Amino acid sequence: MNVVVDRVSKSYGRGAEAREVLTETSLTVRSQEFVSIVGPSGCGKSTLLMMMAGLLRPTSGEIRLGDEPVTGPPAGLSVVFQDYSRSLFPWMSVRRNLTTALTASRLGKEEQRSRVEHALESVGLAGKGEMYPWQMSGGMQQRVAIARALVTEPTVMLMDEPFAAVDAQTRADLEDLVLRVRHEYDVTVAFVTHDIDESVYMADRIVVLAANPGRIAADLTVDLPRPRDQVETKLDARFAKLRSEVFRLVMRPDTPATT
Amino acid sequence: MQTDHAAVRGPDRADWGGRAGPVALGVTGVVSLLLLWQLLGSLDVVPRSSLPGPWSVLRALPTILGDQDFLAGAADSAAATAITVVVGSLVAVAVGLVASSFAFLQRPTMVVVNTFRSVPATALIPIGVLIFGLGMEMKVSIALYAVVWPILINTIYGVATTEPMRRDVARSLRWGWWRQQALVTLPSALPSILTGVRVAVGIALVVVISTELLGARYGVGTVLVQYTQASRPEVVYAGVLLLGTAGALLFSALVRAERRLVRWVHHD
Amino acid sequence: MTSRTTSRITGATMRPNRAAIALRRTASGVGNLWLLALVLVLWEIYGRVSGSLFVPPISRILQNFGDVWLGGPASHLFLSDLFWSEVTTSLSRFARGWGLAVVVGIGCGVVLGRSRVIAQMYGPVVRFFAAIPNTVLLPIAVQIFGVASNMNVFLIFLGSVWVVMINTADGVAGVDPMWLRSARSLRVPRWVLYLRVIVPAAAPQILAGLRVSLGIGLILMVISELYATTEGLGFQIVVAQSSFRYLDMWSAFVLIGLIGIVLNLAFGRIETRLLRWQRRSGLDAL
Ligand SMILES: Nc1ncnc2c1ncn2[C@@H]1O[C@H](COP(=O)(O)OP(=O)(O)O)[C@@H](O)[C@H]1O
Ligand SMILES: [Mg+2]
Repeated sequence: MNVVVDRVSKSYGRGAEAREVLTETSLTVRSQEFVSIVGPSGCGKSTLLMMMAGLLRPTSGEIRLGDEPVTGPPAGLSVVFQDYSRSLFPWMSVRRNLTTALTASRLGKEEQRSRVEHALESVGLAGKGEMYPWQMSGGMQQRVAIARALVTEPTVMLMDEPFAAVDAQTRADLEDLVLRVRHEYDVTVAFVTHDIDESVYMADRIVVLAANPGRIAADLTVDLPRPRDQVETKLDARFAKLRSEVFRLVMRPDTPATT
Repeated sequence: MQTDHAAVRGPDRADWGGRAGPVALGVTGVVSLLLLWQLLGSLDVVPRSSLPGPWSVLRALPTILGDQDFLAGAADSAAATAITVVVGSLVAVAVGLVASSFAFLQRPTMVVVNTFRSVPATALIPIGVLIFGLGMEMKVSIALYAVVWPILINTIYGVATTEPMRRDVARSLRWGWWRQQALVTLPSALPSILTGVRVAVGIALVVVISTELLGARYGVGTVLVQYTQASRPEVVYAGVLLLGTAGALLFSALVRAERRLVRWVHHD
Repeated sequence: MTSRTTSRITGATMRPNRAAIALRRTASGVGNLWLLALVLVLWEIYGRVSGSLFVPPISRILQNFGDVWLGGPASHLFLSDLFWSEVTTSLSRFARGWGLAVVVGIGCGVVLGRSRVIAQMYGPVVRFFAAIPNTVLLPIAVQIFGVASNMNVFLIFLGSVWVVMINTADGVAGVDPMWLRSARSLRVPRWVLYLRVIVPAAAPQILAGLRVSLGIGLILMVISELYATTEGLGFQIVVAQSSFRYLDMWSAFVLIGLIGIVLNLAFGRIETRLLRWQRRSGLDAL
């Protein structure tokens, strides 16, 4: 299902205090597509994603999932938040975290169980359902967060800097994990990051945001072959070229592109 | 051993309502409760003799405020509370600092504290009356028993959560025990200690008034019992209203003083 | 935040050693009892040396304790009839009053913590009630209920409900918005939001309030029985005192103390269990 961001603006605060953090932004994430959203810190990436998730209301403009306007968290859309320690529920076991995500979908007990097992298996946590988040490393917790997002079998998954808090090795593993489950679950992904390599490595398309106020500075297609590989892909000359282009856009969004 | 420092962390945050909220809403709340009170009486849910209406209680305020016994009793109760809190704080903080300074004393001290603080202090009143009689001494000693434990727990807790780096600094400067306590440990533990003291004030009041209800010679509790026996419930309610107001004012003053004293905490 | 994750990864693999850990814990628990034992020994010595009628040595109190409160048949767990009648009376009053306070306090606290308007309307009133030294309500409670169990229950309820309410409201108002946002994006039904997210998230503070209210409830249970009743543990103290049976008085006091200790320990157990997920501070090692 397409996610359409249609001339959306967002201001925080009211009256004289109001500050526009995102201005007249339009963007379409097409069905099955993997779009990276990259930009400097504070440019409004999270704001944009939270609006797509129906957790924030745009000041003007409209967000649509398929043909339906998004006015609250829509069914069939999942979010993976940046801070797993604050988005997973630490008082619930891993299994309970996942089944809680299913309470809205009114599935039978048996169906719930098989969904949970499948999701855990997909993220490499088979048999870890009885553990608690606080017994797990950061990387494992983020896997739980991904499993919790997948367990509802969403059509769209939004990820907000999901790997910002894990070490480099774990991060690479998790990147490949996401690329794999994306196909397994046939899910459309919008993936916010401030890491330029990551944005190129993961995506079919990169949307670069510029700051103050947030707006789209560029929309680049990634023509790297799939499946991606941490070593091979990053050696590809096209990877290097895209990477430096995104880098330039992020650092100096106003200079014209050199193609 | 289960400890519970959190237990003596009194309710202190005001971020849900309280001061800042629009006064109008607060007034609405109070008025709605007064109406409910009036209604309870009018519908005879509770007999007048047990729950006089809000008006007659308000009218009884001058009576109780003009009663010399009540005023003297209030002074007596306040004095007992004040002595208890001051003495209790000094003792508990001193013991807490010493117990925290020696690793072998820490856990055993917590065992003692957790044991004795679980014993409801009011059960000591008859014993206190036997030993000390019906005067100030009895009130203060029983209240002291009740008050020492929360302050002690909060002192030990405050010391335990001192930033270790600060202690290392003190050690590297080769400060002695006294100087280290005065310049590092005590200031670090102060916020926690003050919370304990605030909780202690509440407990001291409760216990002091309890002793008065059970026969202490002077005090607000004594006077209120007399009014109860004289079948003047509206005066008793007026007294409770006054005590509640005094208590509320005292607590907000304590919270404010605490904030001022430990303002540096938030600049860490 | 990061240190705990690394050290606790092993949590799952440590299970086989649980028995050994429990054993070691018990051993160190006993090792920490020496100071308590010392206090009791000092009491014993003082009682013997002073020869005071009012402060008997602990050994004689315990002997009396055995005579009065123990000595029942095995089917009564070796506890005397008096024990069963008085303890049940007192504890059932406590359970009713405190239980009601917990239910009402948590319920109203959640409402206060969630609704800004209601908090602004009733927050000040709640704080006012919390500030009343609650024993002063005792004469009033007797006025309303007379000398009956309901009086004790009412007083225990009224004394302990405010702390629970205030702590719950504080805890609920302070729930990390990320958890709420997370729950919202999972589209959980309302009851799941409240029962599985908000209340557990506020549990540390709710339980802290419950712990304080437990102490208050016990204090009020005793004082209300000392002030006016015809049965219960406090009443036993009064009877013993007025008939100059000081040993009986002390052993009733010891029983009340033991009940307080047991209730607090049990509460602590439950609390630790419910809050396992919370990062525990260094003090819990104490
Ligand atoms: N709730 C809020 N209230 C006011 N300002 C906010 C709020 N959330 C974010 N902002 C501001 O909006 C801007 C964009 O924030 P955000 O979307 O989080 O940026 P990013 O995710 O790209 O780092 C930042 O300058 C931030 O300070
Ligand atoms: Mg962000």
